[in-house]
Amino acid sequence: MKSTRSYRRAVAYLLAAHCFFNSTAIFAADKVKTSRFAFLIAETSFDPAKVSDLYSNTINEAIFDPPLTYDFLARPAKLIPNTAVAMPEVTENGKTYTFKFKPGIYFADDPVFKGAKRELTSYDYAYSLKRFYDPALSSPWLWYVEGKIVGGDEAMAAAKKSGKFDYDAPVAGIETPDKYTLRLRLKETDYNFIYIFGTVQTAAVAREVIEANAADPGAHPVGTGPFRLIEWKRSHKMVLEANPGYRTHIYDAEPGDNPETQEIYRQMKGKKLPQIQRVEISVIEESQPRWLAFVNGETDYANAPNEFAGFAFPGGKLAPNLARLGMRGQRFVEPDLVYTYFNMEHPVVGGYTPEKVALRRAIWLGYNFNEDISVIRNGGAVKAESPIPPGVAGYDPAFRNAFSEYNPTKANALLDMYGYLDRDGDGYRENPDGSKLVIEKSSEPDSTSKQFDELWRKNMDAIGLKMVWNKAKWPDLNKESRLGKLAMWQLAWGADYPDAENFYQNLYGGNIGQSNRAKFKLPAFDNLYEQARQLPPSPERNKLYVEMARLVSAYAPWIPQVHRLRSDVVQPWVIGYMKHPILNAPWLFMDVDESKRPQH
Amino acid sequence: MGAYIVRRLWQMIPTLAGVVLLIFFLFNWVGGDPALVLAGKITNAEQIENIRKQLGVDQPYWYQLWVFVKQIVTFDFGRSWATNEAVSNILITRVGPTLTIMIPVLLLETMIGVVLAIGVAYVRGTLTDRAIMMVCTVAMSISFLVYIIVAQYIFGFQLGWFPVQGWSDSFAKNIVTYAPLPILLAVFVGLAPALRLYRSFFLDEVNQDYVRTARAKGLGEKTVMMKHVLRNAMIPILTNVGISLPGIFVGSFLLETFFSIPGLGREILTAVNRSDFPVIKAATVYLAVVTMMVNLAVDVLYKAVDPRVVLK
Repeated sequence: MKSTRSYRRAVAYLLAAHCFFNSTAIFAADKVKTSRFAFLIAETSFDPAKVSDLYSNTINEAIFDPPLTYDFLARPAKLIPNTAVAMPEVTENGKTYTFKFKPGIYFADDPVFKGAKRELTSYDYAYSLKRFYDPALSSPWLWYVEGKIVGGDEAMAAAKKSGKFDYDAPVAGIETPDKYTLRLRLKETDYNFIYIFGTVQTAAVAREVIEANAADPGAHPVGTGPFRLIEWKRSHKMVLEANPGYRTHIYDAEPGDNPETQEIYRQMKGKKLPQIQRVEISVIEESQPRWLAFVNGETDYANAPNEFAGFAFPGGKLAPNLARLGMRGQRFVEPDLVYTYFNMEHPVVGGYTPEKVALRRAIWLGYNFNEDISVIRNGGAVKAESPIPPGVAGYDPAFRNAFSEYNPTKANALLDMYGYLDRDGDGYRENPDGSKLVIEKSSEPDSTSKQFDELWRKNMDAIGLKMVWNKAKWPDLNKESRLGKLAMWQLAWGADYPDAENFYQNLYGGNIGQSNRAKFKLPAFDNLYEQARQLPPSPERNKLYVEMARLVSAYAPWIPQVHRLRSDVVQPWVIGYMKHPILNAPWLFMDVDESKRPQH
Repeated sequence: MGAYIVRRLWQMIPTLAGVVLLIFFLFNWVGGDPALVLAGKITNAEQIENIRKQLGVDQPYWYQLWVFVKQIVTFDFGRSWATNEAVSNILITRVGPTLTIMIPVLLLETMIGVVLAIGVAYVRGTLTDRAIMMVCTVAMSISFLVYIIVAQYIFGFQLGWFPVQGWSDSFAKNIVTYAPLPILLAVFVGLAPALRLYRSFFLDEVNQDYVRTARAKGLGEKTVMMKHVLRNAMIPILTNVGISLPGIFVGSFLLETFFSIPGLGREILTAVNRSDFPVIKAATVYLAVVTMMVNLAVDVLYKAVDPRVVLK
């Protein structure tokens, strides 16, 4: 009897403690305007020049300031000044960029500054740019500047020789005439160079902070941005707090004629930024808990995971059960491309001769994009007509690709015409010379890839092409791909900046061995690419981009498959949220109405 | 006893050397190239070579192996290639959440398993015994992942009895709020095989001559089961617990990823996906050492449980 009573008492204590801990958490956290969000992959660290993952960069966007940024509501995405007074002055046919920075912008307080206010200057931006060249840093963003800024590569070579990058030594193309002016001189005309200054990788860091935390600068981010990192449980939780020293920043944007952006503009216009005082980010890797946590009200907005996108947006519209809770749905085409590339130097699928081109075109025609989108992706994508996604300069909505239709009859006819016939009656075609034709496609060993493999197998069987698989994990395939050992592999590319050049550089002959995995080298394409780089954004340049899309279509080094749809759902207490096509951190531009947040 | 322990510790060296060689060659021959993971979207051969040089993977294999051995001897595995966090800090900070889940799991699973097993052994051959064994067989046939997904949805989301996921800095809050559902799930899933196994241990003892003798002496069934059978069955049970004990130090990556528990299992999985060799090798060596130490401790414990055991 006594033990039963003790047991009951213990259970009662546990239940009371359970209720106490749950309730205090909710009431304590809601005293300040707080935004909560979940990452699906853990961050790595917060050194803007060093990290390359989306999640770390999202946090960095909240902490650091690049010279330029994007208008939050303007579509297509529009670059605007951030810490720069105005857009840079571009002179000498796109070879010189001059930035003037706003005075009176300060870094967040840090012990390194010894209690003094530390103003942002052009020297900080010059230092940040030089860091890309530092071999000790091995910046994954070196490609932003490598071969571009006068004297940069030479400084890097000298550092490799001496073993240390001399940050005090001048780099000819990085000039700071005064503390608010930065002048950059390029080796060649490049009108797209401006875009890198809208990315967080070119944000200013303070040299003294980096040097004081030399062992791990990424663990100690200090920027001039709207938030500062106050808590970091690695791979688990990050807490940002509004930077009390943040400059006066009043909400303004170009909402265009979209009713949704106009409504956001009406709600946010004139507000002092940031309105959010605290941001809490958790890492929830699995889709189910991430989605359930969102529906439970534990996070403020979520990109519906693929597995749940069909439930969240049945028929493309927000599900009634979510709408009844006051949630809002936002769907838009991401500026990205999922594509399958052919190795143009591969003996089976590569080459520029008519029969090789015909083989790749037939594979393209034989792939059922509709099934790819509706069955495997749960409707979470749109068919791509060219490598360029909507919302990116160079995208032509009228462009139609002759091979992106699913047409096995046409594919069969094309193969027949070029001599790919089934001579031995085994159900599969042979090469025009009668030799065996086996196409090897690489893919990862996960369940989604397996679904794609099945679709490919079914589609290729239907046109008599024998496909076999090279299964390996992504890092291994990545290695083989860079070494040019893969015949075919599906990849995705997300826009670093909203210009077609960011996509086409992956097909430029000069980038073989770097980003050009297909090893596509076509003089006509390369000429167009080089001409486009000489032109500022203009209809003339867009025409060149369309020509390049035609060549991709004609030679088929890539099968541009889909552009993915982003399916965001937003809680009713969130104001001003909208996923920007390029920016990732929305907290500066949004607000929350804590009175509407449910008290669990 | 002292000489036995020293001898066993000495024998650990060749075992550890085998583990070191295995992990080293597996990583170098099967693993992805870390330089490619770190190089970013666009890179060139020179940049990749520079990263390899910085990581030391451009060095001859014998030199890399020597560095690995030095790291083990000095307990300094350097920093993570992916995050630059000190590997020692990763192990220290992640093991706490793992143990918060896994120690209660092991204790509950063992205690409940033993109690139920002795009960089932007591009623062996009855309908209750057969029904429980059938339930155990069915329970064992279902994947752990299914239990997690269903329980998280029903108890976390639909009924709201537990949070769907989460973890805090407070041990008390974790043990009361966030840990119960993962613990209960792991105990529930682990109970079925444990129950079947422990039942067989008890049944082996129940048919022994000494049990018949005890009954013949007029001892009550409760005394026979709890004093004689239980004590003798504890040796194989202890062996089984000893085998599963090292597992509590690495946790369950499924539980940790589904419930967002910042434990070691999740960290190791992330490190594998990132080809983060310093973390992988430190975790592997750590697990090997823990396994060997636990095995030694279990062997020593045999002596305490069964005085007939002689340690040679």
